[in-house]
Amino acid sequence: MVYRYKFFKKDIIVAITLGLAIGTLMWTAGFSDLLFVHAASLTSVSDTLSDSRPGLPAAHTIVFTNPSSTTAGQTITYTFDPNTSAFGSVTSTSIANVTSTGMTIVGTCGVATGTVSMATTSYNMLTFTACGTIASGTVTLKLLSPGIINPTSTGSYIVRIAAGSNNADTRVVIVNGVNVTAAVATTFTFTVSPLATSTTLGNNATTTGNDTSSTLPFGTIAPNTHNELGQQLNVTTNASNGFAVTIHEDQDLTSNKGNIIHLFSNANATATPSPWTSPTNIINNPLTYGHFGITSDDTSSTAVGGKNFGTSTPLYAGSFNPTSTLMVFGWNGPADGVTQNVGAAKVAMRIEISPLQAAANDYVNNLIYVATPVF
Amino acid sequence: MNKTTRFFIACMLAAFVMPAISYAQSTDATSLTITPPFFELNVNPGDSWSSSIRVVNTNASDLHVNAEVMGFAAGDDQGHGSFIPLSQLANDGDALANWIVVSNSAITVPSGQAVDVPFSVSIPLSASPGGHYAAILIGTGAPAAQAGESQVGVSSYISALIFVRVSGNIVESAQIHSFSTNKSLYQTPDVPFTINIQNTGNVHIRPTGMIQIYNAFGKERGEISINETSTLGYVLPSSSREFDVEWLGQPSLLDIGPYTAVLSLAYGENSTKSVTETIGFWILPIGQLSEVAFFIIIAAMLCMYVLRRIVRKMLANEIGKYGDVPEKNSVAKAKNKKVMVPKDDGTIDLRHPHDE
Repeated sequence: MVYRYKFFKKDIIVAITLGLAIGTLMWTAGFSDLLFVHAASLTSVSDTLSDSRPGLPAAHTIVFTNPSSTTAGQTITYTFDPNTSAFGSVTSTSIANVTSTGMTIVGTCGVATGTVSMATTSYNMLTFTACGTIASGTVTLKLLSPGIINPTSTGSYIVRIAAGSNNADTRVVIVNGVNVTAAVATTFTFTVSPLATSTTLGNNATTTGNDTSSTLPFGTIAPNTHNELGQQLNVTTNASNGFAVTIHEDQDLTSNKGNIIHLFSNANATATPSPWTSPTNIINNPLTYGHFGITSDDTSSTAVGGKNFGTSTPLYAGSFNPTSTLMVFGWNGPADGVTQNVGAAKVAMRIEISPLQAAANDYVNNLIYVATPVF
Repeated sequence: MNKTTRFFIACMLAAFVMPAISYAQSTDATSLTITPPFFELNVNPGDSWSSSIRVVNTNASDLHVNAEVMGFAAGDDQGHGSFIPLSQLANDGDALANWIVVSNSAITVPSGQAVDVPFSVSIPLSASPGGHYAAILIGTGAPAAQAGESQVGVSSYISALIFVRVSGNIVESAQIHSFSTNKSLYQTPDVPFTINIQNTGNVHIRPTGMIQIYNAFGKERGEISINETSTLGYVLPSSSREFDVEWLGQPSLLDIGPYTAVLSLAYGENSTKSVTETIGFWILPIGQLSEVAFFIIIAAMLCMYVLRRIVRKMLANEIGKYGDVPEKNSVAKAKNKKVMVPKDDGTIDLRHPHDE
C-alpha cells in the first residue's frame, strides 16, 4: 500500500507540473496563436478603400504578394472581418464588378494557366478557385463600385486573405473622415506684457528692472553683475493642437562702433539651457567679454519639443540667433490665456558683461516673438 | 502730525497708487488676435484664390501691424514649423510663398476694432502637384531705437499657416516609422504609446485611427483614438510626426499576461489608405500576484496536509483489514542483523548475538 500511495503522489505532482508548464506556455504565447495553424505568410498585403466612412459603400483595392504559386483546384479567399462580419453586401459581389491583375477572373474554368473562377460568395467571404496554376507574385483584386458596405461603426477591421496554403491579414480603418477646403474657424491671440522689477519667475529667475511690451531698456550695465528684464506671454486659442511661441533676434547686441555682446554662453549660442555663468573674460577674445541669454518658466513645452529651462534654478539658452529659433512657450491643446504652462508663461532675458566689454550706451538689437499654431 | 498719522496717510496713498501702477503695467501689453490661423486649400494649376485674415485689436490704443509672407516647412516631429524668409526663396518658382500677394502689408487697426487683411494665391500652371506651404506673419515691427540708450527692441508676430494641395500626380504614401511603449512590462493597465508616422508622399496627410488593445485571450480590452478629435494633426511630406497617447484600462487579476496593441491609421484624401502595426507588452501586477501566490501556496500546503491525513487513514483501514505490510526499512534492518553459525548440529544455541 505504501508503494501504491507513492505512485499516486508522484502522478499528481507530474500532472500538476505538466499542467502548469502547458498553461504557462499557452498563456505566454497567447491562446489565439496556439489555436490557429499558421501557414506561410503572404506579403505586401494591403486594402485601399475608396471611402472609409462608416456605413457607406466603398470600392476595395486588395493587393498581396504570394511567395509560392497556387495550384489548380486551390482557392484564393478574401474574408472581410472574420470576427464579427461587419461588412455588408459581400454576397452581391459578382464577376461584373471585380477586376484583377496577377490572376485572370473567368466565368467558367478552362485549363488556362493564371485563371481563376469566381466560385462562391458568402456573407463575408469571396472565393476564387484556381483553374490552372497561379504563379507566385503580386495579385491585385479590385472590387468596383458599388463595392462593399463599410461597417457602421468606426474601428479597424481585418481582411484575411488566403491563397492556397498561404495566408495573411491586413486591416482597413473606418473613420469619420472629413476633407474640407475651407478656413478652420479658430482664433489665435498672443499678448506680450512687461514685467515689473523684482518679479520672480516660476523657475526663480528674478527681474532687475522694468520694461515695456516693446522694449527691454537695459540702460547702463555694470561689469560683473547681471541685468535681467522679463515679459509675460499669454496665448488664447481654440486650436485643438495648441501652439508654439518662438523667439529669435535680428542681430547680436551691437553698438554703433561695432562692438558686440554675444549670445550665451561666450558666443556659443547654447541650445541646451544651462545654469548662468559669467563671461569667461579672456583677454584678446571679445567673444568672452559679455553675453545675453534667455530663460522661461514654461514647464509644459518640454513635452512637445520645447526646452527645459529649470523649475527651481533658472537655466539659460542662447540659441536664438537670426537663423535659429528658440521655443520659449508651447502647449498641445486649446489655451485659455491664463493658466500657467497652458496659456501663460514668463520669459526673462539676462545680460552680463566683464570689465573688458567695450563701453557704449548704444548696444541695440531686436527680439522677435512668433506665435504659431501647431499643425 | 504724529508717526501714526503719517503712516496711515502713507498707507492710503499707497492704496491709491498701487492699483494705478498695476493698471499702467497691464495697459502696456500688446495683444494680437487673428482669425483664422490656418487655411487648407485644394487647387488646380492656374487657379486663383482670395481670402483674408481678420486682425482684431483689443488694445487700448490703435495697433500698427505688418503682414509678411514666408515659406513654411516642418521643423520637428511635434507639429512645429520653421519659417523661410522670402529672400531665400527668390529663385524658387515652385514655392507657395512666391504665389501669395498680401494687398496691404502695413495695417492700422483702431482700438476695439477689427480689420481684414486680404491676400490672394495665384497657382502657376507650372506648379508641381502635391503639397505647398507658406505662412503669413502679422505683427508689430521693431520699435525705433532711442539715441544714446542701449536697448533690446521687442516685436511680436502671430502666424497664419496656408497649406495648399495642387492637383495632379498626387502621391499619398505613409508608413509607421515606429510604434512603441516605453517598457515591455507594466504592473497596471496604464500604458503610454508613442507613434511616429513618416510621410513618404508628396502631399500633407492627416492620419487618423485607433489603437485596439487585446488581452491574451484575444478579447478587446480598450481602444484609443488617434488624431480623431483634432482638425489638424498633419504630417508634411518628407517629414515625420509623433503622436503620444495613453491607455488607461481597468485593472483586473483575470486580465494579466501578454497584451497585443494593434495600431490602425487611415490617411489620404477621404482616408482611403491605411497602415497597421502590432506590438506586444505585458501586464503583470507583481505585488498582487505575490499575494495571490502566497495564498495559493498556503492553500496547497493545507490541501496536502488534509490529503495525507486521508491517505493515512485509508492505509490504516487497509492494514486493519488485510494485516501489516513490510515496513519501509525492514529489509535494511534485516541486513544489519548479525548471522551466527550454530555450534553443533542437534544442539540448541542460547547465545545472544552480542555475546560473540
